[in-house]
Amino acid sequence: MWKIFQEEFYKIASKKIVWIGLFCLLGFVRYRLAMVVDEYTMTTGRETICGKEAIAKDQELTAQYAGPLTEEKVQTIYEKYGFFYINSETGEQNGNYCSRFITERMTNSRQLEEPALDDIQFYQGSDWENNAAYLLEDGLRFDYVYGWDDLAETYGIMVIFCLSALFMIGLSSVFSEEYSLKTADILLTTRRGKGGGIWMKAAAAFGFTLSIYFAVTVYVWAIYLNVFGTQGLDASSVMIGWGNRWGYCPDTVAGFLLYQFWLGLAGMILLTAVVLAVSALCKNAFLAVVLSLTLYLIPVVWLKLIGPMRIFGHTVTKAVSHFMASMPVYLTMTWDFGFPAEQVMMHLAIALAVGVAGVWLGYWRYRGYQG
Amino acid sequence: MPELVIDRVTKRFKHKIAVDTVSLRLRNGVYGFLGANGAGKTTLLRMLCGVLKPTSGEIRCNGTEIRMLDGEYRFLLGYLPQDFGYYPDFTAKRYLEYLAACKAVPKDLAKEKVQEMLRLVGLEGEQKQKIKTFSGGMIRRLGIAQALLNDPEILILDEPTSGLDPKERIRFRNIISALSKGRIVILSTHIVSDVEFISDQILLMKQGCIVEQGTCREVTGNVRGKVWEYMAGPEEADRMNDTFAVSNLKNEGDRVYLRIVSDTCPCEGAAPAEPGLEDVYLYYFGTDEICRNADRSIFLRDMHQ
Repeated sequence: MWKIFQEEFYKIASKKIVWIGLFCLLGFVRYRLAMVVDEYTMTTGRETICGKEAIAKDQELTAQYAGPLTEEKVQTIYEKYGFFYINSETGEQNGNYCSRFITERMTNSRQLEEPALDDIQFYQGSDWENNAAYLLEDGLRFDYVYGWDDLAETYGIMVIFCLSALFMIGLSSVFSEEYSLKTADILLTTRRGKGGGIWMKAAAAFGFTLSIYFAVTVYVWAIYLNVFGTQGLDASSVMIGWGNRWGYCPDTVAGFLLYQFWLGLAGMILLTAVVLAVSALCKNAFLAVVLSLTLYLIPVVWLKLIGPMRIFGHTVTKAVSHFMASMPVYLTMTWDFGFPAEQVMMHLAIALAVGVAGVWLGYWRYRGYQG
Repeated sequence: MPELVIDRVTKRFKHKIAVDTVSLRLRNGVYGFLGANGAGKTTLLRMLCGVLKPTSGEIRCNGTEIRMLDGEYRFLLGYLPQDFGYYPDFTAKRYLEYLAACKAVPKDLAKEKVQEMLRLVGLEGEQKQKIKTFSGGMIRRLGIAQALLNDPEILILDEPTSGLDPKERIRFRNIISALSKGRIVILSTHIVSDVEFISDQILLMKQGCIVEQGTCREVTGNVRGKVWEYMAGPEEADRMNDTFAVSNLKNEGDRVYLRIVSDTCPCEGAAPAEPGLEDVYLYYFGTDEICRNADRSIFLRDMHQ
């Protein structure tokens, strides 16, 4: 069986297009991070510094205020560094990470278009209550999380979506290529061809998905760790823009990144199962890729277009929307929706059921291939 | 030693009946299925392999339905499909080792068996080449090698010699003859000489049915008295070629030698001849199936103009 697994894995892994896509993705992530570092600036006194030096300086400076965020800390940061702003004439950024945090999260700066320094004010009254008060009330642990914020965006959105596309391309051939190459006729007449052989195909597909997903995760995390170190991983997840306070969200930044990782993993496993089913239904790999991509995007069409029309009534729309939110495209993005923990669990359960059904369908469809 | 029983097996594709209520009992020996394209040979063989499910009837191996035997039956099986599939980027060795694993050949035996098969089909020197670099004949030989990998008790070969040159074809026939002891070998072809030399039983298939079955002697015996030899002039030969099923035609000086398959004496002066399997084929499958008379007529006209 191990030999079959190896060869099935080789068949998937020998697709050059997947590796080209993967190296392009990793290269782009590396390039993007380099750009982020290059363009990073902070001002200390009257001096503006850039790049890694600026990051180190910001980290050092933020470390002084690390820990629970209090009104006094905010006041101290404001008095010492003022608000963060961008000079509209020169395009220069003025401020550091701490001042930027309080400016972006506690002032009206985001409501104004290219605000002058004098126009920026702390939120007042209900604006403060609605937008900023929670940062001080919930025992937020403050620290430098700029890099993790960027990682959450890069990894949670770009990397996951690109990997989904690559997996669809790489795995669509698992069964469909056996039909198009006419090797199914031979394999299905071998002793293991209709049993263990099929499970090995599925295992190789999942193995490929998992190994690539883990490897990419390790690479992306490693290059960010290399630049930003480990500072801020134990800060509150609300510190990063993607952490939300309504639905379920792990407490720390590290927890949030792990949450993204697990959701991504669940989504990739489900995607693999669905692609396996599609692959067994299609007689050539190209058709399988097209059909997989179509199925992948159906939840987007539903939730953005059909669902809001409510043409199927409230109950059906709600049920279908939950189902769609459990599909790979949205399951991997669950961290952005503010779903309560029970709903996340429900979506994972739906995903599990669909995944099992997908593998089962793929198995029986391929096993029953009639030419 | 296995016994295969095909019990009133029918396969229907939408409105077309590909195999029509075929019943057979196959024991040790070589069974050669002869028939024109579309006669139902491949469909029947695919059902014997368990790839296709019969619409009705059943196939039993040693008394048990093959679907019930599942992997146990497939363990006995070696199959070379008509369209032999392979992975272009695999080497011959890798491909055979992979199939050996699929066929549950014990790991310690697999490498040895692969080398033995590569030697048998003359691909030992090319074992590390990617299959996409192989010629049609080499691919066919690889197909034969994979079918024999697990030392099958039931060997099913669909058009095994298509694409092979005469030397390879003779070599293949010898391999099959040597292997036929103690196993069931089923081969389908429309190349008459393939089955003529090695088949213990010949089965003629037409429109999904077995129209004739027996040893080569029995089958040819059925058309004894229906094969005629005649020497004709070019114009007469041309005319007779259009009228009768001609199994052989040869220019001999000014005259043309004709071998005619006909229930009655085709013309005065025609002498009865000893029938061969090609004559039997022609007798059952008619003129349009094999001899392409129209083409020959044109050829004859060209020759004598």
